[in-house]
Amino acid sequence: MSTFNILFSIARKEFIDHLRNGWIIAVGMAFAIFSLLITFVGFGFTGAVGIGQEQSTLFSLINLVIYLVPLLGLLLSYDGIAGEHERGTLDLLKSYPFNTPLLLYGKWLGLFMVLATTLIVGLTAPAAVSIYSGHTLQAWTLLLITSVWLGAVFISIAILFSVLILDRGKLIAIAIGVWLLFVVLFDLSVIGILVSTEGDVPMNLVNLLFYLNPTALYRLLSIDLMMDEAMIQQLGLMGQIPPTPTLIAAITAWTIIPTTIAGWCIRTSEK
Amino acid sequence: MSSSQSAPILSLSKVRKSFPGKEVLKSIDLQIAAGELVALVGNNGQGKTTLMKLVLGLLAPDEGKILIHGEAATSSRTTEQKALFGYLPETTAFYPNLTGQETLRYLSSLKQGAPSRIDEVFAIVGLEDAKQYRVKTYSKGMKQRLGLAQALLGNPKLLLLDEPTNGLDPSGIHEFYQILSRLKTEGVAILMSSHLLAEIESRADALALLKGGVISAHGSIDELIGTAELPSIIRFQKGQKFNLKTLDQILKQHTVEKKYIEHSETFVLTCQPTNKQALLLALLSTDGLINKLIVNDPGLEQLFLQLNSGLEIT
Repeated sequence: MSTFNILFSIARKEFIDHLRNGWIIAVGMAFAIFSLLITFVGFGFTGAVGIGQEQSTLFSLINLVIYLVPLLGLLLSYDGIAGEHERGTLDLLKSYPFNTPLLLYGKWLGLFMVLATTLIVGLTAPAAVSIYSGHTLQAWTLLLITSVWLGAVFISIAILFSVLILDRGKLIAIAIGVWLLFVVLFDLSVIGILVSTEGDVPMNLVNLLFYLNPTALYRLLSIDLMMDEAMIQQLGLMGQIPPTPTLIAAITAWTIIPTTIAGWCIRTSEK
Repeated sequence: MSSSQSAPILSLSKVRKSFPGKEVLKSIDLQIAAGELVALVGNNGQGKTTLMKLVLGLLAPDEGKILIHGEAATSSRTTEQKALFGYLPETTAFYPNLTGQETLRYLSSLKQGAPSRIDEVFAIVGLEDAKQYRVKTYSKGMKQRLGLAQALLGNPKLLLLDEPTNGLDPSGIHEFYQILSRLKTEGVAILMSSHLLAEIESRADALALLKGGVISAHGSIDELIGTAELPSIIRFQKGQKFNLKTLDQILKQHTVEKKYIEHSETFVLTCQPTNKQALLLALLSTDGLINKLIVNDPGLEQLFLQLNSGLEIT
């Protein structure tokens, strides 16, 4: 029981701290403006290629999420442990009578709550507009859940680096590097390989590469869960998307493995 | 005092700790009993904070044994052992967006302490009126009080305080030592590092001087001063019937050197404690020889300088 109390105390403190420093409101509003713009404009897919408005809006929002949510997760969490170190509270908390990895798991939970609230703030307005126009709530709910989950992956990655490198200056550079790698460079590299080999690469190998990138997994999962057959056909992904449980297992692994390694690292750092 | 109270709460035996390229602590032996305040002094970089971190289990010793309440501590502390500690790090900024009360509520929940203790410690450190304010509005001294408050959460048996009076004003320092004095009577053992020797002198039960990776001196301050045979400094001005010949004769008898400071017309004598009484008697019994006599017995600052670097102050 006390383990849960400690976990929730840390998570609660993290949430209150970010609520008061304006992070949730500022980032949530910015996300809402982007989402609303996409919802209203519909990104030009509408009509021209014969795909429904809701589908095209959702697809555009999935791309927005791929660009923004990993960055939000990383910027929110990059100094999770390093910040405590700089404030002088890390050693203090390590001297307290609880297992130190709980600090990390509690922080993860708190940051997850912050990100989830931010995305709820950001996606509520476009979802309301869409539902008012007669579209379904289900797709928006799925978009919210998968987006929060993608953010959770990047919170885990950022926390792992935050345990390994207790220097905020280096960590901000690493956070941006991780974002560039997974969001920009990875896709470009895959395209580069396909172009340079004129597509003569086994599809299984390309699929395998996607497991190395959580944003690619998120894209496939979102398309699998939210897009109809016509849209999947249009995207040229019919028969190419791995089974849903496999994608869920892979994203779960991306969430759990970095946090577990971070927990192990913070425990051994006590020596 | 019962036998359980007199048993050391903390005992370190031949503790060694090195970092890449530097052996900070070579062999530390130290014991602290319940109700005892031990002041840990030494120049910067001598390993005072490292020693505290070893006790807390934030660092593991390369060699040696650490006993907490008679129980051997492994490389990591058990939650039961951690529950005995109250720790105040040298600098702690806490969480600027939380109020003082929220901060202590949060830290108390992590210490699994009783919520009723929060108001108690606010009263102890004198921060009751500021507990509703956010920590970012606190002065340095208030943050230090908040730091002490968190160290007192959960009724610790061993307080480890790393330069705790940094940033406190004189009345804050006075109140701080009153708090420590009360805790001592409750049987709390205190290990405190400080550079402020004047503060420690009348308040610490024992002094441990860290130098060259070992505790080079350990004991009560009076004992250490006595053993060190530090000289007393005697200052006086010429009396109405001053006679240099008479003075030189007295000083010669007591083998004391004199120094004359012309601008203040003051003589300064340095004498060993064994000589002091006879010398003073001789000076005072010679009618009109001296005026405005001031005797400075050796203090902690003199002791520290002598033990630490072989310097003497006059």
